[in-house]
Amino acid sequence: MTRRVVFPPLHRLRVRMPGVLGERFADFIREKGWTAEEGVKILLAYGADALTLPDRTFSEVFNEWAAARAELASLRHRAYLADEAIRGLQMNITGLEATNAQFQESLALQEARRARLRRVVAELEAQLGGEASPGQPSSDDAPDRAAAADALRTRPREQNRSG
Amino acid sequence: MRTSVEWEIEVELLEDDWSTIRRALESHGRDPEADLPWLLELGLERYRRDEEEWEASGEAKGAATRRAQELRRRETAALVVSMRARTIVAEMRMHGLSERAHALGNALRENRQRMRSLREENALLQARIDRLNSSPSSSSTAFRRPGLWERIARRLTGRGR
Repeated sequence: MTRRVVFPPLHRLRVRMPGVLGERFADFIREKGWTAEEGVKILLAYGADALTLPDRTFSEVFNEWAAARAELASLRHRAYLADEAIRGLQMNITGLEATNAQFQESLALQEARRARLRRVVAELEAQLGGEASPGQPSSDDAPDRAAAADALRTRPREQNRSG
Repeated sequence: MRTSVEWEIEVELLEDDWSTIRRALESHGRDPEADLPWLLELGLERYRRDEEEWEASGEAKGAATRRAQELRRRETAALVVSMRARTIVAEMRMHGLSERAHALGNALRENRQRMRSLREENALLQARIDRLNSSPSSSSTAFRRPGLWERIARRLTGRGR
């Protein structure tokens, strides 16, 4: 069963900073140690806040700050956990992709081997007058099954090498 | 002489945060898309000014004055807007990778099952060949057929036609 996760919608926007603004922006984010994306988001939010000037009491300002600080701590923790998980998942995916690719090669070899064995069985059966229809197991294949089980038990490495 | 730096940056914000920014621009008769550089410049100037004010009032940094509290609020609120989008983007990526890993795990289980089944089938066929080769009719009739064993050997080893 797959887990359905709903994420809050995102809005993508493009910001162009020509000339002097671009230079000021570059100096600013370098000084702060921010990425360009972080810088744009922080400064847009800072600017928008300057345009909305609600008359707040001291306790409102304090409560708003405390709530923002708590949310920021929680977001940083979530982002850290997500980044760690991403690193682990990327390694798992690389390993799984390599293993599956190897399996595809080995399966192709096993299928080719099966085709060869089926042809040999058909040929032998034809030569011997036909114990069963070509390539199909006979009705009395208990001895074959016992021998096959024994071969799989005793020669697993050979089976692996043969692919 | 410094060369002119022209930036064009694409960012993602939470739709709710973008709505707040858009409303703020529109309330001042500004275009939400075209005036983004203007808003960014406003934010840059105000951030610089607030920072200078914060630095200048060094002795009041720890004090819970209304002004100090307001400066702290502004910075934290802006950082939250940036961090919300960054966190959601990281969590979306994590979710996508998790689904991919899950699908690859399922494929691996299917491959293992298929390999087991093929090996069993091949062992069965091999055992059947061995039994047919050792059957009395094989030793009396087929064994004497010219070229039979050479053809079988070629088929089994896959060499020659």
